[in-house]
Amino acid sequence: MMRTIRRFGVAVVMIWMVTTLTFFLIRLMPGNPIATAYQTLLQQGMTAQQAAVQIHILYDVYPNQPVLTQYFVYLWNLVHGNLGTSIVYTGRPVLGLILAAAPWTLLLVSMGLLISFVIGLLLGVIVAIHRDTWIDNLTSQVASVFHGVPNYITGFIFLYFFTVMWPWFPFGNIYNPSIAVGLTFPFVASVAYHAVLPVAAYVFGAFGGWTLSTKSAAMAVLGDDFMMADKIRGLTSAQRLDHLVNNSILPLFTGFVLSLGFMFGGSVFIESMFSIPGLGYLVQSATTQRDYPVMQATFMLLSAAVILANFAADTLYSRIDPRIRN
Amino acid sequence: MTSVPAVERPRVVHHGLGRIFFSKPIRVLGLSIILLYILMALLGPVIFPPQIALVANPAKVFQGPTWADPLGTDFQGVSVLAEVVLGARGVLMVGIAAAFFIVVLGVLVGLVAGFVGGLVDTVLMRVTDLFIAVPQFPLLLLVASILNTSSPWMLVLMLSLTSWGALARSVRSQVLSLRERDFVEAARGLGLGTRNIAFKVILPNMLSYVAMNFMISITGAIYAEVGLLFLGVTPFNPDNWGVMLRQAAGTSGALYTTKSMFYVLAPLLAILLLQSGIIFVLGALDEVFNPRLRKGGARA
Amino acid sequence: MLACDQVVKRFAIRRGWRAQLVTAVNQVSISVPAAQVLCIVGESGCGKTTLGKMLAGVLPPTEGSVTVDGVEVSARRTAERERAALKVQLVHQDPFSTLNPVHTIGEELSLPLIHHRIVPKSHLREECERLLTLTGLNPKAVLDKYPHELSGGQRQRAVLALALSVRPRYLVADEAVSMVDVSSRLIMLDLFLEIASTQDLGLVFITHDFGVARYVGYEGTITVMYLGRVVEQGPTEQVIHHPCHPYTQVLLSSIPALQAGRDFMPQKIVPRSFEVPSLEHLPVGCVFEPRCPFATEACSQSAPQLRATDKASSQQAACLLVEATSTGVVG
Repeated sequence: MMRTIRRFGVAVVMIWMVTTLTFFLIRLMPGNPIATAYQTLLQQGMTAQQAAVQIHILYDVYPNQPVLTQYFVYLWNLVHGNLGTSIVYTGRPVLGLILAAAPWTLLLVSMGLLISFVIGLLLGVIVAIHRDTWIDNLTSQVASVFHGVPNYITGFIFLYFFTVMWPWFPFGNIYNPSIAVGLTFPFVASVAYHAVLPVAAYVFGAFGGWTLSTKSAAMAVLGDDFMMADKIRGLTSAQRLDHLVNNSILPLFTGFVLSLGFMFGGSVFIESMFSIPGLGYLVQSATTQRDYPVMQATFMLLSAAVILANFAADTLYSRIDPRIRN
Repeated sequence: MTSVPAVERPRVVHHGLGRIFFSKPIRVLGLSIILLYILMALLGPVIFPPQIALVANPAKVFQGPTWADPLGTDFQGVSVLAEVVLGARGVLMVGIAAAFFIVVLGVLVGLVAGFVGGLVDTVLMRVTDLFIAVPQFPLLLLVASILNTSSPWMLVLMLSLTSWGALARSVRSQVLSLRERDFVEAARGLGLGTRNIAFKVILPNMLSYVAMNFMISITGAIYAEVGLLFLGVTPFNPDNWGVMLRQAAGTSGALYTTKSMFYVLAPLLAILLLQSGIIFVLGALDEVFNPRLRKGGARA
Repeated sequence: MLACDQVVKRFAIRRGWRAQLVTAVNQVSISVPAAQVLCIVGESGCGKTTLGKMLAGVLPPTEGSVTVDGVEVSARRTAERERAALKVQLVHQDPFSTLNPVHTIGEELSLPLIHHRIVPKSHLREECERLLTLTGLNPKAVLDKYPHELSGGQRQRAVLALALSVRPRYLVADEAVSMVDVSSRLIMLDLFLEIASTQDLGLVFITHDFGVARYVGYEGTITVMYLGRVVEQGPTEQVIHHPCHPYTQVLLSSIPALQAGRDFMPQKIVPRSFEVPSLEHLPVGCVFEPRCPFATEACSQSAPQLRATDKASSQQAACLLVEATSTGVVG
């Protein structure tokens, strides 16, 4: 329990460090839109004070404040749940933009992760059982090649073949705008239809890694003495398979929870490619448009996702594995 | 019995290299692919002089494969093959340079942290954790838009600074387990000195791992580089597969016609083929640097 | 003279919340004169390996000091102390793990030769061959081999050659023959003795086997350890023929006889318990008291000091009961 609290403390400190880092990194960016707007107002004949007030009304910041003061104001607002307001979508609170975008990312990423995990698990166990046969050689090579292929490549291939060559699936957005938003069948069906290709892109980018790590975990277990003991004890192959899966899934669990965080990072490509209004898209468009309150918040959120996933994986792992628990 | 000079012989590496690479057909294939890319990078501008090969020709926009243009033409009527071949140099150079710095940085940090231990270890690992925790692509986006440069060296710097963390962490944990081994204790007993123990006793044991990581880092860096150009965050930099992709997805209109298949797929397949080549030789690389794998049935 | 004075080694063991200190070696003092043999005998866990590592300078003692020919090597390292520490070389128990798996034997031997500039680079090869020949290996057959390509006996010899590469004055051999095939153990022991005598080396031979100790240390001394302490020491033959400490007697009487009726000890001495106390919960008094068949009330009260068993001999034992009868508990 104490260790869990300590780990959580470390996670919080890391999130704070990332926040600080981004805050100052972003201040280094050329083409600071607020400074530009402030200069424009001054050129239009406003006094410095009028311009500052105007900027404050528009963007909720004082342009002449020292950076350190801005930083503390930012932190203060942050702990109060105030992430500032967007510059591009003038006046819209960043929190609102993020809350509107997050569900789509969450949906696609978790679907992609789950499906690729299940596929990888199945393939990995099959390969481990048939090791050194052509099934193993073929599957392992294919998995190795796909492992590490970024999802923009698989995404792009799907995009081209299934929306251009054979337009079986819709292109762009995540639901048909002509359908009213709500928990109705047509709406859910439309979302599912739009989600097929992005999810497939995630799956093809990730199943190779799962296959390989399941394979190595399962082979380690197959080599363990107790599997041999099971064979000697005359357990059926189904029982042994059960044993195998139970013992090799455990170490994979950490990886599963961890990758949840990382896949949010990968959403940048898939979402900009398929024009899905999720977090990744938000990051990308905010970056190109220098909308830095949004950049800052989304970046922090993505990092926090990884850090918290890391924390969850650690905690979960020590809960499940009795060897660590004591 | 023939006498082979022992100590004058250079390091372990040159031990039946040919035999290791030619023992499996898949390794020969991998090696040929890699050689093909190196040739493309070296001789690209000789085979396809850019002033001639990259000239737009409105008469042959989005053509299929012909003898003159084996991979068809793009939205400007330029040969896709020429674009792919000419793109290789930039892509490969950035990938290899970034992988080199990733490996140097990762090994150095991991080695020092694991070997020195104590406060140095704690500080280095906290920094490493931070770099691992921050998702790479968003961080790259951020840094790329801050630096706002098209210089390939800045790109290399960005790529290596954002992706050394995982290697450092695993090198450290390997050092921690290796330094408990008897041969490290024996080396200490022989008074070999810290630097010797780190670089001549411990490091050779990780060489196969480091070499494989170098190869994988090349593909990782290439993906990141192409991805950045694809997203258009770094300024326009022609002759790159990422730029081809960006144009294919965007302004070229390639996504509105089925005639553009070769143009759209060429850069993607170029990357995938390189990745496959690298994956295929990894097993051989492991054997080259790990003498214990050489005898008997080593697996690819 | 290789000597240690009142050395203590404590390790911290994590037990959930807090770290617990475990004393692996407790106030041990031993000495080996140049070119002499000392055998350290004890069961696994008695601290003999830890002591050996401290003697060889690869493990710093928590308390106490180790001196090599008058130079204290356990203190902060200086160039002079480095040089002195190099005079003691450890031959590890497991020759396979002592050799770097990615180096050939030639490369392995060259590292210390180059680092300490023992021979000029042009003579590197000759020196490697000399060392290998010295340990009974055919240089041409092993110089370019990796450790995994050698047999167990060849590896053990290569490890010995490696230890000899820095021209030591003392060797600390830790269970040096336990990984060698039983049939070639005697040959290995002879090799150790031969090298020690031709090179004038002091030898600290760590073993669990009284037979090995007697063979190697026939003219030397023997030290018996139990749970981190020295319980008895003295000239080898004296200790073996007149063991004073009950633990030594138990060890000697548990040696199986090759011939019926030819047991080493005329009288079987059986411990009260076969359970060795854990290092984390050592008895307050004599460490052997819970198992000692002769233990009295006094034995559980205070720990006995090592003292001479007889004014005439140099034999010492740490047992309260030895004082009563100067010829040992069972005499």
